Amino acid sequence: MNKSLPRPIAQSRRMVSSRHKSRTSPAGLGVRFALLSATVAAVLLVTPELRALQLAPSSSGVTVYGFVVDSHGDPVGDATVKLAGDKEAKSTKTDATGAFEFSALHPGNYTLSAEKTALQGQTAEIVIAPGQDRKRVDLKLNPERSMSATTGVAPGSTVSQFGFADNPDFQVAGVTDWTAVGGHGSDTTLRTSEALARETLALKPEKGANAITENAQKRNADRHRLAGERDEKSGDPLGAVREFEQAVQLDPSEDNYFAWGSELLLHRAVWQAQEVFRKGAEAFPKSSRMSSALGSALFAGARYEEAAKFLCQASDLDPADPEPYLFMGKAQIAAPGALPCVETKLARFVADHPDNAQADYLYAMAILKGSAGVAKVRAIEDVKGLLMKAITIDSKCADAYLELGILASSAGDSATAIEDLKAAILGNPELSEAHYRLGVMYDRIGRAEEARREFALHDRLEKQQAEEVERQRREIKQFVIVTSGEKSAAPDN
Amino acid sequence: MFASVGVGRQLRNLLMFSAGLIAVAPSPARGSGKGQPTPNRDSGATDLVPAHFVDITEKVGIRFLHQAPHTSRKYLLETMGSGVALFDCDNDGRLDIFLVNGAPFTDPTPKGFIPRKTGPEYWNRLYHQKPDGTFEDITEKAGLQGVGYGMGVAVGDYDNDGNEDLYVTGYGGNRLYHNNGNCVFTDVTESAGVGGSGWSSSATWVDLDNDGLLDLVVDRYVKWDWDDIWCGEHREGYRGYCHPDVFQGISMLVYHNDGNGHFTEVSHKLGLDKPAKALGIAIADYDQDGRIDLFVANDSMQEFLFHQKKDGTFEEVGLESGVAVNAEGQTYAGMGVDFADYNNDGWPDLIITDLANQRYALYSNAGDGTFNYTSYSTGVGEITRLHSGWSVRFMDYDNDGRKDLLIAQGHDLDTIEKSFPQLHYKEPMMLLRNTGKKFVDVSGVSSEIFHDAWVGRGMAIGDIDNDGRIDAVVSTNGGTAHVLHNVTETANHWITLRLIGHKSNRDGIGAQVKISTETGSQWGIVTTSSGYLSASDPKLHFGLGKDKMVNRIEIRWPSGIQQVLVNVAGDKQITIDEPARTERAQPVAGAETPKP
Repeated sequence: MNKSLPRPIAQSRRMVSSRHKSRTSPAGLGVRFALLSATVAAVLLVTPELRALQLAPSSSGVTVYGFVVDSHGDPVGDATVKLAGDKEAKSTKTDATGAFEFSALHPGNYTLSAEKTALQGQTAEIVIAPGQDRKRVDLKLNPERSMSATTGVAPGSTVSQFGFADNPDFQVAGVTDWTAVGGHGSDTTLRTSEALARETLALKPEKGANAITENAQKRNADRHRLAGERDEKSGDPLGAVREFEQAVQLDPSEDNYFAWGSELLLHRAVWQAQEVFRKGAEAFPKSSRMSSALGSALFAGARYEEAAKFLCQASDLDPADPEPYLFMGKAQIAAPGALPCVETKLARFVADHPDNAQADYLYAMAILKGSAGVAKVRAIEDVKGLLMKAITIDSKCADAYLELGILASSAGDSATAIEDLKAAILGNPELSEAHYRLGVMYDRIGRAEEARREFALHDRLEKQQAEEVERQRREIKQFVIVTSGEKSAAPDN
Repeated sequence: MFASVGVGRQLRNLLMFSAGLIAVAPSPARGSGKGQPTPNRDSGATDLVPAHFVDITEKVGIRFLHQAPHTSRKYLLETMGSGVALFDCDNDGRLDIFLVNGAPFTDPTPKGFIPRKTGPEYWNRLYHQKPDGTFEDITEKAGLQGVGYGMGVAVGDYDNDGNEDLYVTGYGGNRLYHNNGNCVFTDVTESAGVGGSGWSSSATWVDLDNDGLLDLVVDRYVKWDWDDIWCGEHREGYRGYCHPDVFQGISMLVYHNDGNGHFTEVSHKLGLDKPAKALGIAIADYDQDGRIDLFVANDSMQEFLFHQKKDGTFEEVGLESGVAVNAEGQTYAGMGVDFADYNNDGWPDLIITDLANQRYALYSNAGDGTFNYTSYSTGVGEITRLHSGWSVRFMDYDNDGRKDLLIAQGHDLDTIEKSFPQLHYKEPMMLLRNTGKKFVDVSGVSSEIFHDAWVGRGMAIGDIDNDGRIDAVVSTNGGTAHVLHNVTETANHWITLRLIGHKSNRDGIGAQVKISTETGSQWGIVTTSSGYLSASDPKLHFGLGKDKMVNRIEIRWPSGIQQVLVNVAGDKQITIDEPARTERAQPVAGAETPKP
């Protein structure tokens, strides 16, 4: 992609990390306090190419249009764009593609500005000459100084000052079935997100972090949390989530935040889980599992870059704990593109955990995802080395064998590919992709019968696994959420 | 079974022997078959050549609004769109536009309901191009208003009378319209016996048995009857269209042209009745054995490649040939498809569009009956991973001698952004330029239409103003159509071939053409299908780069007749008539069409 040319809409094809600020921090929510908006310096992007695109003049005044993009060039939706001239002033919001438009303007001098919560605004001076018909001006918003959890409150301070714990912006109004979500076409990331949510529940607190129960209110809070755990086990998630919320209100401890957020995430109240974990991470910036959980919830909301940031942060907080690395490695495999910081953290994982085959495998996969072109060719040897190390540590590391098989088959080495793929299947007979690829290799060398057998196994496993996923999804009850200002809206199933 | 390498090579050698006179077939050796486009032409320019397509819809008088009722039930039919055809209905040398339209239904709709068009807003529309380049709506005069909820359109002269006929597919039955000449059509569905049933999607006219008469192959999507199933998250505002897994597949309909205005359904007889969830169809003789093969794009199940055997029946060889799934062995939501040689090695390759997070599937033909998944190595996978594509064509927008990719886009779920903010129901068109080494996304540096987000579905291509640059018409779901005029600045040369069959079908559908210039060779196959629900101009267009002259044009007609033309000047359209028998090299045959 040519960065020198503005392509705001086309860039909406890429990941947009700042789009859903409004979803995760609705009005009235405590986290919003930190997000101030500002209006500052100017970027005016009018290139000859863009001028060439202007349409033929018409008689109904001048139209000024353009796109608001962030520092990555991704569109910024719901930004406020203001146009102020000598005689007229107008204001509008950008749509999801970052587009805005003002029409029927008179020639003259105008100031065009854009602003958006948590982003630094931009202003442009523009001149509309007589005879001009359409003018395109793109505005760029830069991120404000870090709003990450580390700039939040110190541990020990109470969270009630944020007006969050005692006044959340959402309510869990009921439960409903969770099936076929996200639909058509997005299953890979969805499966990973479901797995990460399950694994989040199993994250252990740091030793001693929540050990001391000081007073009656805290003990009362603990009782609610334990009641919540019982409710969840006995199949009453609605009761459970209310107990967990109650526990946080009585005692906004790390344990209680984590329990509440995990319950929301497990029942696919993804955006609300993000809010709770975000508050938890702000209140307990040293809690590695809170950062991991926030990363997991962000991943479930398809906010991959932000998810990576918190998973990396979690690994920094407790480099000895493999969990954050495993989360980020899996997220990296499922995410559509290379994530920031993951590759370097996984390198540390490999260095710090020399006996962990998963470390080598996940690092290898991150290198593969991150490199392209010539760099990729060079990276292949490193990747192979890591994968070989993984299978030396764990001779049943099926994923590593599979990847080695893929590399061998792309290099045209069918004998090695077949050996690696067979080893992968030996390590994990359920690995359907290995069966498919082995089938292809057999087919290419004329062993049609064996190819057919592998294809049939692949088909059968795919079907079984799809059924298993469907079964798991049927078991999940999704929370029905009502946000403030919204009346109860349970689905009419 | 043809699948194994050994047999493939034997066939190929046989072919080379039998094609001794001329070499329409590609040269046999292809190295490792990695599938990168062959760098056989040096444009000398940067990879990012901006395309300039202008939306001239309103200017030329096309005012079409597709009707797709949107209900709270999220009936699957609502989001699938309808197709478009670019064809010349009166042989005046100017392409006309036919747009398929939906029909009303209620919320909820009772089972068994077959939608009917209740007024002019639901009519299909035929727009005739006038000499000044504007269009007039001649739907009523043409008798093409249609009846039900229309989906696809296929164009072909099934009775070889010199006029292009139309087959319009839909939900609950299809219609065949015979062109009586001058763009006046008669509905002959009943007498022809091609009404079909169920939910049909794309269709193609192709002479399966090389008897000189076009047969008809009709995709059907799924068994579906207004099923009221809640799919997607179970809460208000999140209900979505159901995954095709929820519905049963259904076999295609295959009509053999009996030559007397009547057709016979032969899908079972030909081995083409394998249950599918078919949305796209494309034709090519991928193994160059002289018999046409079919690729069927299936939604969320294995893709089908039907190889035609010597006895005229078909075997489905998707898995063995490597095109049934992606490189990881996963199925994807196959929708649109094109089957053409993008790397100028003589072997037809495949592109299949699908949904976001799946990557469009590009397979390069290894020349031995198998294909390699080349989405990753060509850059297509990386570029398309967050996009959802429907109609797709290999076409050379800048006439540099390499086929690029033009794709109509937009996710099928109108609620997708709620769960996945980086995916979009409305997306801009995508244009990928073939640099000879890989594909690069030039949408971002191209004209405004590549920045406007639509619910893209159908797309047909052809040179609407006969200026030597390929234009396109795009249909959107529940929206306007877009006529995209290609005015890309280029000094490159071109040639457009109109083939007229005599022993073969009159459209020359299935004819394979090789052109050779100073810089190299290119291959094409005559078809009106490919893409999604749409029909394109059958004329073959080639960019020639810096070459003004085509040294040699070699044609293998479906009849088996071979023909060679030498020293043909470029920058014009030429008409080539099929000779009565195989001839050695001859000077330019056929009349030149008038310049625009």
